[in-house]
Amino acid sequence: MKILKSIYRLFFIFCFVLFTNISLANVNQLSEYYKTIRCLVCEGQSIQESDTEFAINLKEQIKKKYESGMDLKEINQELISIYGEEISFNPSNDHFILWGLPLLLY
Amino acid sequence: MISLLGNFSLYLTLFFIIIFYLGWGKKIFLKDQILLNLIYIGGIVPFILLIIGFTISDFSILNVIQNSYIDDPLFFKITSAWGSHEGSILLWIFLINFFGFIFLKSNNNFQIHKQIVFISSLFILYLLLSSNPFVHVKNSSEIVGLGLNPILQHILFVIHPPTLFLGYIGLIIPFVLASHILVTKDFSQNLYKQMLFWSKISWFFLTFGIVLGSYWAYSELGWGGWWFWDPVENISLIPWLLNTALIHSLQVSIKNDQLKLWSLNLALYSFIAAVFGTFLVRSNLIVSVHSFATDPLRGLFLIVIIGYLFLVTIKLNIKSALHFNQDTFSLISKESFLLLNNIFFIASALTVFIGTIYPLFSELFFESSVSIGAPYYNFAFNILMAPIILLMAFAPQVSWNKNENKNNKVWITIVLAGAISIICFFYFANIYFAIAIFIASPIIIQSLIVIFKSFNKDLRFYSQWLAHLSIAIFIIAAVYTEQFDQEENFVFEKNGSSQLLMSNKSDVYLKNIKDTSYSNFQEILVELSIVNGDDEYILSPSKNIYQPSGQVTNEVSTVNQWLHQYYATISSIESDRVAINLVYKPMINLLWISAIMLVFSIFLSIIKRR
Repeated sequence: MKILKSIYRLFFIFCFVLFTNISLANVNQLSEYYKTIRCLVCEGQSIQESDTEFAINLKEQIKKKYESGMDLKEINQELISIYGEEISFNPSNDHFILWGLPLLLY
Repeated sequence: MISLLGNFSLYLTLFFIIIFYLGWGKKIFLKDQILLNLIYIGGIVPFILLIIGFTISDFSILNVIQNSYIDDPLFFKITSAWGSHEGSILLWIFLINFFGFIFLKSNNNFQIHKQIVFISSLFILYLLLSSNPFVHVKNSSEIVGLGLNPILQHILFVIHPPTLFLGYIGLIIPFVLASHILVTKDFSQNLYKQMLFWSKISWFFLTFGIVLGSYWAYSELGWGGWWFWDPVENISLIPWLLNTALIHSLQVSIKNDQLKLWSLNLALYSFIAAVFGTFLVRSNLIVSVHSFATDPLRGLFLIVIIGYLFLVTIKLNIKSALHFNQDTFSLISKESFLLLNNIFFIASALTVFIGTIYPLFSELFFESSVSIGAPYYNFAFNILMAPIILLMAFAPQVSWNKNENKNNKVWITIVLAGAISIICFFYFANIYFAIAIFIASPIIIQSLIVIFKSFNKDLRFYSQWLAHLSIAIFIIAAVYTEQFDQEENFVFEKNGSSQLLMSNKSDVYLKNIKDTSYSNFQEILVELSIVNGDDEYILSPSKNIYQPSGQVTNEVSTVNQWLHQYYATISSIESDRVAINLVYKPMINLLWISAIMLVFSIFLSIIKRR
């Protein structure tokens, strides 16, 4: 049992490292990226799903920036600096409790 | 009149409960059995009264004014009864008493029923003090009502909340049975068997309710997907995960006398999880797509109820911890696999729980608000689930309590699954789908072997395989849909039959725009036609404008192409142009079919027991 546990823990850490490195890198399409951005005026929807003015404007802005050659990571950082961390559905790695707890549960 | 009767019935029930508790039944010449029946019926009646009130549009009740409109179709008038917060809490009380009433037929141990009655009385108090649906209004002759929220005017709304509530409240029976076992220290198999039966009943409704809710979100709300990791979805998933773990660990408890305390705790916590979920939603502590009108008092009250349930659990655990030996069993046996299953299920339930309440926590301690959405859950939850799914293929064939493996095809199956997934990887060029195939295909391979090999086993055996098989199909379908869906946005000029091309080589035409009026809404309908080779598919999404609120809803239109589906919504409609959002969702129907299979499999195992 103990061996299984430690194997699984290693596996989890491995996946975590993998995930944090590829989380934004594997978002290639804009529509995928929209899904990680929260529509602040709606209750719990992403801007991809919402058709409020806020969401439509934000989508246009992101698209412009993306087409002008900005990296998705840079766009993400800029959005967070403007709107706060709330804007992203993808919580940053600072929240170690959030990411660490599932691991601790074993 | 109805409001008076409703209030009277609620207070009378409380009165009977007090008498029952004080043991004064004999003094007023009532046997305990009859008294219990009276209490349960007293808890059932108010909800029926509320339904009658809605049916005849009795506008002397405030709740009817707020949630019903005089011209709503009769069907939706009735369902408005559980469309509001007050009504749904009354439904909750109704169901507690309903379950108690049925449970009384098979088990009339008063100690157990005392618990049910006490919990029911807490909810009745909660209802009377903070959210009474029977508030009376004077001078109501000219009122026509504010109308039911248009989003709720859908056939699925009629069955989704009651089904889900049946699932939540079905957990109360395992809860009271578990606490009874811990109090009396009577660890007889009979009680565990009853617990298994009731948790299966609850599991049936819970699964069905979640699937219905998911389908509703998909087909009515136009969110475009079937699962959003919305807090309200999460809190329905937590009891489901715990209940699933409970069903599996109860097998060990009954067959093998082990994991007994473990199962009891699972039973206790799954009901707490269900109540806690309700509390989170109703107190408006977290932001969700499901919004209820709320006030802080409601939250406070539910906290009290949860606090009580929690204290009971902790107290019982401390008292009885000494009565259990360490569970021991060998590494490769059914028990250890079921224990592993339990660990993973509990861990994933906790993960979902943490994700759901973390924004609250973060706001309190770090003063920074975060949003936790699909990316987090998709990572943490899927990682946790993957080993369970792999286990599911092999664990059912491992024998009880023996350190040997009956089935020696494990490696062949894994190699075969690996081969299939590699082929899939090169064929579809998608790593996620290949992983899903690798995880799910062992179950399918094993099920095929098992079904052909042993044809004459009993029904329960098949129900188990069917459940596992449907999970495997579900995973494949879900990953396929998510990975290979195609979304396109079209803008059509009105009055011209524009033609546009989708990326999977089909043409889209705008056919017609219709404007029709119904009794309580106006409908603007856009007819689209998709031509793919020789086949033509007609789609008709619409925007409905409801009276009297003027609220606009988006009606989704879907059309099936075998297991695939086209999914269309109107994103905006102006005087000269229409914008359409069209999604091609492959394999989505397989997902719903597997979900129905899962529900059916548990149904099979329930009817076997009776």
